[in-house]
Amino acid sequence: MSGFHYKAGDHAPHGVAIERVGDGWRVVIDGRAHDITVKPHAGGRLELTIGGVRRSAYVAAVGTRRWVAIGDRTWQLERIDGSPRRRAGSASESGHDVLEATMPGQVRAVLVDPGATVKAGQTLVLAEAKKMELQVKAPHDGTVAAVLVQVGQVVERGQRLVDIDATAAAG
Amino acid sequence: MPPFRKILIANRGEIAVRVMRSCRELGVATVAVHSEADRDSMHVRMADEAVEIGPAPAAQSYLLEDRILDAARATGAQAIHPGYGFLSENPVFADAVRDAGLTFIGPSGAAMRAMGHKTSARAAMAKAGVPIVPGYQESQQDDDLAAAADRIGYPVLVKATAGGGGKGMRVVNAAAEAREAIGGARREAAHAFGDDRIYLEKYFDGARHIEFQVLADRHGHVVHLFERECSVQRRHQKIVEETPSPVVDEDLRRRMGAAAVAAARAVDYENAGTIEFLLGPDKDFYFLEMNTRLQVEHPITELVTGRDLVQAQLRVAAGEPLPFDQDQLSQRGHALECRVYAEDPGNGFLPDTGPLFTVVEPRGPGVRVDSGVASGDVITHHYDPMIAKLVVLAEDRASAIRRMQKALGEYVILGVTTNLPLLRDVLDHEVFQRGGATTRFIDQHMSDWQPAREVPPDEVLIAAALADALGGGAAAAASGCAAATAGGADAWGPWRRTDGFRLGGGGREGSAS
Repeated sequence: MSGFHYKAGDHAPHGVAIERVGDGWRVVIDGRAHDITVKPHAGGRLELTIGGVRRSAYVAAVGTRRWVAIGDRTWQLERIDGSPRRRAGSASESGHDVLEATMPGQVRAVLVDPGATVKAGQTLVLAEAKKMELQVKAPHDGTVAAVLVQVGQVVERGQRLVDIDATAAAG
Repeated sequence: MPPFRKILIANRGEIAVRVMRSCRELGVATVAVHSEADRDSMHVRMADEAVEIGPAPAAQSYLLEDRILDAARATGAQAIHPGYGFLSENPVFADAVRDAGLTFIGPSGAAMRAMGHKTSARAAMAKAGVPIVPGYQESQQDDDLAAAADRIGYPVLVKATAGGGGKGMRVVNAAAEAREAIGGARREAAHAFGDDRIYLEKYFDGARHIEFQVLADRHGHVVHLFERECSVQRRHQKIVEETPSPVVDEDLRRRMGAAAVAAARAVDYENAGTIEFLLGPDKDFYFLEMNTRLQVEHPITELVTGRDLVQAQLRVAAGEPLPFDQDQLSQRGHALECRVYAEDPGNGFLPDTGPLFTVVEPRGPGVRVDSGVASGDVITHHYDPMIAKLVVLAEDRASAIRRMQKALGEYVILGVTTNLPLLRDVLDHEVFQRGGATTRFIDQHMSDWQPAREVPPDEVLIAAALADALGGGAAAAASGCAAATAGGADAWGPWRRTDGFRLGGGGREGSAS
């Protein structure tokens, strides 16, 4: 018997226990048992027979992310096996905010230096993606603890741009 | 007889594929140009010949005029179709193509300059008797512009003189925002167009965006192919288009069509173009700008008129007269287009990138999908994140909406976040269904939009768990992905491929060969 855990949006994670039974599978989700046969096809298509009813699903993944298309909808799930990872750069406890690139692009201008005092809403970095200008703004008053990118640098989504220290802003 | 023996398509993605389809029907051979990142992309696979012209960034490939001209000479192409975007509205390129002794499938450089320069276009239209939006274009001084914005009255739109596609465009709602908006629009315009000049226009809040397709030949014939309603926009970029417009009646259509033809004649226009109008709540209309190229949304016009615009473009460019006159054109049925993007509408419409593991396009009577990617292709940050245009034709508007709703539901795209759920909600929205959407529709009704967040039904979790459980077993073999099966028993197709795609920075290193 093996198991997986999936999370959809903000809902509580679902435990899915799965074991082989004869030619098929027994899947138990939150206490509900299903007897299933499955036939994989090309292109990530799975033909599932659940309780005697046959359905097609398409499944794909990037890292821990899972896409499942079934019926007329596509669902995004997060696989969270083992201990769930904590989000890096979480602000509140340390008093630090690490501002990340929200989309891939190129840094056009860095408007602050390390040590500078910034106001909430102040533009710190200008980036360009798809010829749209993106303004990365300070989420609160603070001090620039570190600038992690340079002008001209190509950044990926999630890449850290600027570290803002809120606790040092008091003065 | 084919209008040309062979042409080069100076573009990529769905529009390059679209142009090639018409070429094939006409018996015209095709040459694709492509960047390193696009070596295996659909438009390259479809072309008769392909020439690599540079690395992934467009500035080092698709925007390099000399490389494209070299490719045309090397392959013996007689003409160049620019598609939309990239060099399509660049008069220097259009002139350079003609100076090289080739045919540019589009208007003259002079007509592009007259219309591409938004302020001179406004002046020319006013002279031709075409109504224009109240605005200001007399000075580039921030003080003058800010004072003019006050005079025009808010909201005011700051636009790039060299602009298009919503780039360098800002809405100013109050005097206090004017200077920051002017600065931001300047920077964006400078980056996007290499020209930081801007101008102001009155912004109409309850307005609709209605555009007219025109076609002109070099024998003095100019026709319009009716309107397209493009009011549903996000960040000034269209996402849903339809024709006929639910608010344009016969009389208004005749008057706007006549104005569109007059606008094209005023600049001696040749080939396909689009005249964009603002339609106010009182059915007063104003010239906005002319797009001197084939539009993204041209398929809806093709479906209701039954005319192939790309074939017409080729024939006109070859010097033939237009294959039809105004009296032979009519609208039949109702067409809708949805632009399917790799983007997250629940998070500021931020583009998403990555491999497309599975793409299953909807099919059926009256359903057309113009796409430039298929399963196994990659959406990179180098280019526009549009995946496809989903277009439907039905006998009336209500039927077209139902057909589109079904088609959106059938569309499977796995690997990136898409705007499909938002498009479905637009189509389901009561305001859209009664034909009441203005350019403010998304802001007014969808600004807090989030995808539905129900608890997934068991079959979704079952499918995910079985896919994970099957891992490197039968699924890998059945997925037809050699890279995965070669990767060992723990790798199921898409899982392993992901790493290769990602490390390649948009390249194709991870693909099976």
